[in-house]
Amino acid sequence: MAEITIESISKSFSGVKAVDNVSLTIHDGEFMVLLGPSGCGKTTLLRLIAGFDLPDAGRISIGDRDVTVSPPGRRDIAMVFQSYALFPHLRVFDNVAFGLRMHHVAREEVTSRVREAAELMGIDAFLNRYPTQLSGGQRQRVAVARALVMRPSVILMDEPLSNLDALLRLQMRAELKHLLQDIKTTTVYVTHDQVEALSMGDRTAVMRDGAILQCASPMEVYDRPGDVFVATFIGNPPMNIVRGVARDSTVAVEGVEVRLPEASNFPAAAEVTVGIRAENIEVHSEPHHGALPATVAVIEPLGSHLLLTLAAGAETIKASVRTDFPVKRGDSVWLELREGSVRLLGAVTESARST
Amino acid sequence: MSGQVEAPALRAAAGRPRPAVRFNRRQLEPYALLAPATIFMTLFFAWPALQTLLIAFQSAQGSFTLDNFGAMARDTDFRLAVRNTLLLLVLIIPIETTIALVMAVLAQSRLFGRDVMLYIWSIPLAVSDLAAGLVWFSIFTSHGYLNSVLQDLHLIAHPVGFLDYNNLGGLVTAIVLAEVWRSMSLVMVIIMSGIQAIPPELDEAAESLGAGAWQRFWKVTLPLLKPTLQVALILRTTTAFQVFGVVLALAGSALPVLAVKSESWVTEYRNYQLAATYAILILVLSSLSTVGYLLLLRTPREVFQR
Repeated sequence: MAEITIESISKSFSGVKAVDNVSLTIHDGEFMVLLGPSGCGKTTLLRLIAGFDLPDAGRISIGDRDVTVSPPGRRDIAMVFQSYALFPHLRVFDNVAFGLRMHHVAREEVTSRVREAAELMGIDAFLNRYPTQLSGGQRQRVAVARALVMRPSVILMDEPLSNLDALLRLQMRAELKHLLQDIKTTTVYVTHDQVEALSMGDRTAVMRDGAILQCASPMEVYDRPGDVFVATFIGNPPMNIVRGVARDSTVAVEGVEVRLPEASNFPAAAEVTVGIRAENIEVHSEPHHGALPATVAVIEPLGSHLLLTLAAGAETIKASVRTDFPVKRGDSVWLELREGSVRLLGAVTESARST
Repeated sequence: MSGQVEAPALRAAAGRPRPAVRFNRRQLEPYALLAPATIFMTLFFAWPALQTLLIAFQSAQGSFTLDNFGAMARDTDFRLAVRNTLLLLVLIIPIETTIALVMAVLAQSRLFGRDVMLYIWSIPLAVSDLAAGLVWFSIFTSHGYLNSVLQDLHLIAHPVGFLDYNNLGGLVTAIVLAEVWRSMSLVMVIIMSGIQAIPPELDEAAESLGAGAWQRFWKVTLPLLKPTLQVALILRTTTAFQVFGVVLALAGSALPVLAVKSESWVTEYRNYQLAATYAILILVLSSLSTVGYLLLLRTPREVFQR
């Protein structure tokens, strides 16, 4: 168990900055998710923590040890790879025992610890098999057992669930979270799947272009995104982004004023980007005070709710309603942006205007 | 694989009645494509091999006999030829395999100038065995490069007869050097392809679990290279039993080996029976070594199934 401190770390690959001056503290026992699209630098950051790559600048410490240039084997970390990286020539038992043997652990202790880890992961029946004789889910379990058996200070996971089919992924997600909560080992988990990030992490660091845009609890990242990228990357559907004019503690969208949860930084009227989640829009079939008139363009039944795509003036807005809401394509509806859920995502700058 | 390809064809055939003997073009195509290679191999390899086998069991008059094997065993240089062939083999194969392994592993690392080194290392791939022998002959002969250099450095007063007919150590050393130099790059190329087939995460996984470079080589890389090494060793050992050009160039008849004996029974004495018998002995030894490697470097089937 240990705290990870990352200070101003940078890494370039042939001139391209993969990680650009990132600082991050991961608390002891915390489950930190690094989330971002491919190429955002999340895997590079993980590999820098693991020691597979060395940073161009900056400092990494695990616990109170500076490990910036330590080899991976001396960092007290264990890694779970996307491809599992099981040794194909070794049986499950020897795969799990590999690290203990490298550390010259006594034979009896190796056996007992391997059995313990295997029981925890539910693979004790397969100890005599080769990895190729296992299903994807079982291989995944072996990979986790091989990491856990080391009792490392830090567990690093690189998209560990992305090679599993959807149903198994759902099951392993809950199981991994349960397991890692129980053993309270500091975990860094890389994923591009925002649902995994929201559901598993204590905190989520959203990355883009080698930098961390926002690092906060999953609900905070979802509810109060720091910028337009985070707002649209997280959540399904992504947050609605519309133009508005803010002044004091109100914002006007398509000419309709809504109160903001707190006073804005705009004493004088300013053009701003406004974000609101689909579930925070109340849809009325009759004209309603303080609601924007809109036309229903698309109706998508999603089982638990209907997702409406609506045209409100120049804006396209998505809102979710209950499945029994009476609506058909082309209907006129009125959208009430729920007070307290409207987010200002910054002033509209010239560059934002052009995109 | 073939089952999957055939199944729809069979089903189609069952659905529509058609004469059983008539093949359509699609069914014949693969055979037509394979035919040239098959005919070539049959004509120029299988047929001569069968001829050799028959000749080894025939007297000069053409009747069946086992006498040729007795004659071979009584041949003056027979024991020497067997001993020398095996001696060269047990020196050449381990030396070149070890060097090739080291070079292949080094070639994997991101060293500066790696590509240039690879090109240089693979030059011997393009050199024939006789040419290789002649290159090293020009080095080791009495007036060769080595003697000139040693004399210029005043390390020796008179040329040393490295390749004298009675200098067994010199001859063997020269032949081993030439053979290793010539075939090492082939082994390296084979091993490199094997190393590249190993996912790099396996090395990283081992590294993160605390394995040092040496342990990763012994515990991960080498076991996973076993099938590759098997191929390289079988290929090189069967060709080492046939060692010919290099020996001929460097030692002539001073160091008898099986393939040179076989050749000389044809070219010098026109004794095709004895030459064929030597060839059959080489075949038997190669086959035995192949079976040996197959058993010795066996990998459990499960390991490489995907």
